[in-house]
Amino acid sequence: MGTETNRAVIVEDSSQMRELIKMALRSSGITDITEAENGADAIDLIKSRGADIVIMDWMMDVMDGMECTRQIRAGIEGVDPKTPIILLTGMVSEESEAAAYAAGADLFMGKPFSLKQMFNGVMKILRDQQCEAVTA
Amino acid sequence: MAHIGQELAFSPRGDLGGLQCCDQLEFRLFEGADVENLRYEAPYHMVRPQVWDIPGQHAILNGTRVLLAEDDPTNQMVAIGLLEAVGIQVDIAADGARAVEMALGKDYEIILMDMQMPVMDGITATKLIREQDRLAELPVIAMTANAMKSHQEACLAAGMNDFIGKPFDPEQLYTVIRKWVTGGGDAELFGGLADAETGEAKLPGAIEGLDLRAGLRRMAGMEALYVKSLLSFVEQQQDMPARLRQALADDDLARATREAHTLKGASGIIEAGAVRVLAAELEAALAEGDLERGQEHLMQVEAKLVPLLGAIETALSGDSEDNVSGDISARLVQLKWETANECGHPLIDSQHRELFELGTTILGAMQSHRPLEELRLMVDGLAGRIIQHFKSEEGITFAAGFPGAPQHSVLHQELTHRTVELVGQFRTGSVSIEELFDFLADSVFRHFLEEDRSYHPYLAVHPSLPKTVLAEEA
Repeated sequence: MGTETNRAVIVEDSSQMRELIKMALRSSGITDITEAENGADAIDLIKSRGADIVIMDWMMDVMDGMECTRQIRAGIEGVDPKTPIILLTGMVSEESEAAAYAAGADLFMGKPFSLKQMFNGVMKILRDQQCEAVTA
Repeated sequence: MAHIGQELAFSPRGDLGGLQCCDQLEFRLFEGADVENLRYEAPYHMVRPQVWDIPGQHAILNGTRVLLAEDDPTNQMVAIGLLEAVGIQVDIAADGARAVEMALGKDYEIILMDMQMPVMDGITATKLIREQDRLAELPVIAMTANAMKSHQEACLAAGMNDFIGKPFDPEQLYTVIRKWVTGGGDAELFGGLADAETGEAKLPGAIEGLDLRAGLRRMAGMEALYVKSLLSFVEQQQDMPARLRQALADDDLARATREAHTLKGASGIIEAGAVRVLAAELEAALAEGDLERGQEHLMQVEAKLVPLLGAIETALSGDSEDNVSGDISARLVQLKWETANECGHPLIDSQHRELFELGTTILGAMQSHRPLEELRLMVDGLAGRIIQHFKSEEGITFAAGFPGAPQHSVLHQELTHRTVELVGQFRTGSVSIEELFDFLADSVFRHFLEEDRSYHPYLAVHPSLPKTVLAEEA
């Protein structure tokens, strides 16, 4: 599905968690992966390199994932406002899920996740993207 | 089919009515046994290998929760024997409908499904199980003597994952179960990517404080990746209590809350259940700004986290203890609290348990060479709690009319005095932590155990404890 052209950005303050997300991304065929530890750094990274998928933690220093998602959706110069975002959180509840989607997340995923769940989530986003590309 | 009075002793890999069994098992059916409900009621006698006989390669199966859907009592018995021999916990469903019901009611790791059963067959039961969201990923293994391709395809189409042949071959039984309860079934998705990158890693059969099978399931069965994640956990979380205390000292509640939050996430992914639960409570307390409760929870987190970090390091480093840590391990065993020690009074029991756990935590911290200042703080905390505990205990024993209360009170004063003295000397460096713990273990903790026995006849409110047994022992 042409995933070799996909660029991914992982935004997560735990290196242990980044490692697992990286594994799931590579398994789905994505090799261009960059990492940031908070939302503000992530925005800089996306501006400079672009991103086809962003996997982002909610709770982080400096700028959290929710705020970062909102800002991307609201429009930042040099960032595609439609960049697909998977938002992760350890606070799984109906309210947090609703809040994540309201902020503009494409997929909300609870922690702890399994590698398989992450893989399936990434594949779903990539598929949706392809469908949109075809219908667009 | 077995009959009453028949002794079912298997010679090495003997064969009985088409059922194979390994040589370690022996079953005997007694007169009056309820063959239909053999699993729960029959007074059958089974000799099974001790835990240390579990073959190393299957040690990880110890404690696996298995649902066996099988109607034939003899097959049930043989399967139970084989499964329990490696420490697997087996529940029995005698038909497919019951299997669906039980699968919904409990958190099984795998289902072994017979094909033909009364009420509902295995294929139908599997289809119903797959209709449930919660059970969509639960491994269901067909137990079948039918090797025909069409039959196997029907099983897969119904949502079954794999096959175990009948009569049972123990090795195949263990291997298939192991593959599916450790996430090996998902590994195909990843094509061994992680293991190829991170190299070979060997996990032991168990690490105290971790659910290894659940952890491996999170990592799609990739051992090397799990090991890497465990090492990264140790590296990042070993200073967590110190970092959190520093954040509190700096009045930075947000940073403290994030420390707790990160620990919750990190312990969740490696399946350190107890630490995760406590870290979540700590996070909640800090998020509410409740510092007092936060301190309490931090102590509890530490009591589980420190031994966990030690256990992971020991398990993965693979080297045996040197003399010093060997000595400490001996003391760790001494401070192990057992439910059997309880005196039956909930407050005293919970305080004694807490003090034992705190002692164990400090020994663990000492074993993992924590900074001296940290050990000093922990020792201060322990001493304070011991003294507080004596006070609240005396309130209870005097009120309950325990005849030895006055003598105990005198003894408590002596122990308090000596504890304070030694802790002071430890602080100034004239007494080592080993000497301090020699005293605590030999005098204070031993005293807890002794008093629990003498309290029991006067204070026990716990109905399930047989008073006489403890009284006799005393």
